[in-house]
Amino acid sequence: MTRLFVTGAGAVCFEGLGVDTLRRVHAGQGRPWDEELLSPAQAVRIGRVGRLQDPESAAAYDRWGQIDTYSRYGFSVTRQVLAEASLLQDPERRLQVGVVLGTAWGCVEENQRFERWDVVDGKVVGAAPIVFKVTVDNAPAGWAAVAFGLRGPTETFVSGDGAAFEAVWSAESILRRGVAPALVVGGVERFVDLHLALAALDPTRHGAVLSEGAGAILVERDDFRPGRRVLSELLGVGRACGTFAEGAEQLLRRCEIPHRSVVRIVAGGPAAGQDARASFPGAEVIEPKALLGEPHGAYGGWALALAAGAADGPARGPGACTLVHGHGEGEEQFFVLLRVPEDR
Amino acid sequence: MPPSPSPSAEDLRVVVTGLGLVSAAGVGVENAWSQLLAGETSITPIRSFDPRPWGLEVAGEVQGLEREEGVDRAEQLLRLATDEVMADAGWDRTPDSRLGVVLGTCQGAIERVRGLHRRYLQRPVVGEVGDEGRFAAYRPGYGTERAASWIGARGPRATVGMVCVSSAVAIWHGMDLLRRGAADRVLVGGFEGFSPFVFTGFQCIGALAKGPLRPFDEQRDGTVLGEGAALLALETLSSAKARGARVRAELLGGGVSADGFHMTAPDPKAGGLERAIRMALAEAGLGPEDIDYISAHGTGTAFNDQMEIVAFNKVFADRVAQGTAPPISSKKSIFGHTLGAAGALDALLSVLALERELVPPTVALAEPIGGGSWDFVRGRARPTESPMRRVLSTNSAFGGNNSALVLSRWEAA
Repeated sequence: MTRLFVTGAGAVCFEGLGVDTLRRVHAGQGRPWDEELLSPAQAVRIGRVGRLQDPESAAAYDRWGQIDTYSRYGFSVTRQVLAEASLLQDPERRLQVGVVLGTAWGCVEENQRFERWDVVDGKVVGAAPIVFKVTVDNAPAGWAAVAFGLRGPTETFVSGDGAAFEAVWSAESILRRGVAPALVVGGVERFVDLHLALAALDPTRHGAVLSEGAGAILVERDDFRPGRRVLSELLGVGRACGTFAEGAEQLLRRCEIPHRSVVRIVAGGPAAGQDARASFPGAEVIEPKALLGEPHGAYGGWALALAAGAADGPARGPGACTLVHGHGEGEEQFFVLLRVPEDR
Repeated sequence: MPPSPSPSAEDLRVVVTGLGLVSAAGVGVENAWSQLLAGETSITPIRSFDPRPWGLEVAGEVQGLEREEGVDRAEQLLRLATDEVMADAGWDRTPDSRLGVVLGTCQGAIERVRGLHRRYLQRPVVGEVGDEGRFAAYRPGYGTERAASWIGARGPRATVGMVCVSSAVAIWHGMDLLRRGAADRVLVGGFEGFSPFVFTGFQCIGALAKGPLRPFDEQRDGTVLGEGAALLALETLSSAKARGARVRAELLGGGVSADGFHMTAPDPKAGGLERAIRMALAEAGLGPEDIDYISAHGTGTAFNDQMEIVAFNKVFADRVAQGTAPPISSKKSIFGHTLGAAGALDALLSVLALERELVPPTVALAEPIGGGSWDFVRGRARPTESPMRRVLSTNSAFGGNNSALVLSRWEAA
C-alpha cells in the first residue's frame, strides 16, 4: 500500500506562529488568556489571535493586505507547511498540491461585516463587493491556492469540531487513490465577539475557553518526492461511533500496529483523556485543549501539527506511534495514527 | 453492523435509491421534471421581500411555503426534501449508526444568522443575542445535524462549505464514505434558502441578470438566484440489494480541483474544470467517448459559461472535431441558481434524465456560444439519438473550485 508521509507542520495560535508556539502553550509557558469585555459587567476569556500579522506571508503574496482575518490563519499555516516541506521553492510540484481544510464557523466574521448594508430612501447602500466575495467558507483554501499556485483537489468541510478530522479522513482517501500526490490538511477557526456572547449565554456549553487560530500538516505520497525530510508517517485515519477503546483498536487493527507501539495519545477532551489512560496505560496522554483552549474546527489541525512535530523529537524512536483523537459530529469519534518511520 | 474487513465488489459500488427535491417548480421531484419537459421557467417575481430597491425583480423562489416560527427557510426546504427522499428510498427512521448524512450549503440557515447579526450590530449587549439559545445553531453545518436527527442517522455527518460546488462535493464525499466502509447508506445533497443577503451580494458584484437568465447565450448578462433542497439516497449496491431497493442510477466517480487563479473569476484557460472532469472520468474508468450528456453549471454569467466551453473543448476535443460532441444543457434558466444546492440539483435531474432518456433543455437560449461546435439542447427536453447511459455533471464556484460527477444509468445484471 502507498505510504503517506507528513513533511510539514504549521500553526497559528494566540502565542504566535509555528508548532513551537503550540508546544510552548501546552507546556504551560504561554501567555495568559486574553480577557474581553462583552459588556461593562461581563468579561470573557479567549485565546485571541486577532488580525494576524505574518511578515513572511505578507512577503510571499502581494495581496496579503486584502485577505480577511479568517483566511489569513489558513493562508499562514499553508505557507508554513509548504516552507517546512521545501515546496515554496518548487512551483512546478506545487501545481499538484491540493488543500483540504475544516472549520466549524467559517466566514461568519465576513458575513457579519457584509450585513452592514441597508435600504435607505428606496436604495440599497453600504453593500461592499470586496467583502461579499469572501463571505465563503472556502476562502482560506482559495487564497492559498491562488497565492501559491496550488491546483490539486480542494475541499472545505464545515463540520463542527470534527471538521479538520473530516479533512484528514478525506485527504487520506484522495492520496491513497492517487488522485493527488500531496495535500495541505488542517483546520481554521476565527471567533468574533458575537461568538463569545453566544458561547457565554449557551447553558448547554461545556464552558471551555474559546481559542482561535489554525493548524495544518502537509501529507504526501511516498512516490512524490523521494528523499525529502519526513516528520512522521500517516498510517491511517479511522472514524467510529462506539467507545474510544473500540475506535482506537479498530484503527490499530486496520493498520496492523500492536497496541504497545502507541506511546502518545493526543486526546480531544478530558473524557477522552481518561479513556485513553485506561486503554493505553503506558502511554503519555496529552490534552491540548486544557491550555490551548477550544478552537472548534481548528482543533484537529492543531492536534495533527502537534503530533506530527512531536514524532520528530529525539525522545521518540523509530516505530513509536502517536494516536490523535477528536470528536466528530454526533456520536462519532476520529482517530489518526502517526508513526516515526524506521527508514526515514 | 460493523464494516466488512474485506469488502465485496458490491460493497464498492455506489447506487442512488431515492430522490427528494424542493425547487422553484414546487415541492417534489415530479413537479420539477414536468417543468423541464414543458421547457418553462419557474423564475417569477420575488415575493418574499420587496425587491424594488435592488432594481431587479425575479428569482427562482419556492412558492407557497408557510412560514414556520423558529424555523429557518433553508432548513424548511431541507425538511421537505428529506421527507420525499426517505419515502422514495424506502428508508425508515430507525436510529442507525451505519446511516450517514453529507450535505453541502453555501450560507446554511442564513436568515437565522443574519437576524442575529443585525440585532448584534444594532445593540451588542449580552443577553439580547440568540433567539435559539444554542451556540451551535448558528453554525453553517447545523442543517446537517437537523437532517440527521430527522432521519435517525447516527453515523458519519459532514457538511461541505464550498459555495456552488458544495453539494456536488458532498455527493463525492458520501460516495467515499460508502466505498471505505464508514457507512452503508448516506443521505447526500444540498440546500439553500433565497435571502436578501445573497441577493444583495450578487447584485453589488454585478453578477445578476437584468433580463432573463440565458445560459450559454451570446447575449447573457448574469445569473438569477434560486433556492431549494436536492437530496439523493446513496447506498452500497450490497445494501440496496439486501433491502430489495429500487436502484435508480449508479454513481461512478467524481473530481474536484482548484483553479489557483482568482478568488471569484474563473480561470479563462479552464484548467481547473478540465482537471476535475478528467479526475471524475478516471475514477469512473471511462473516457470522454463514454459520456452521452453534459449537465453543465451554466450560470449565465459571461465568464463562467465561456470557461466551461473552453474546458469541454479540451476534454472532448476529438468528439468536437468529429462532430459528435455530447448534448449540453443548463437547468438554471428554469430553476435559478441554487448555489449550495446546485450540484445536487444537477445530479438529481441527471438521474431522471438517465431513467427517462431525455436531455433536459436550456430555456431562453437563442444564440449559443461555442462557435456551433456544441449541441445545446434548447427549449424542450429531447430524447438522445442513442441510449443515454452516462452523464457528466459539472459545477464551479467562488474560491476557484470546480467539481465533476459521473452518473450511470442503472442496468440490472
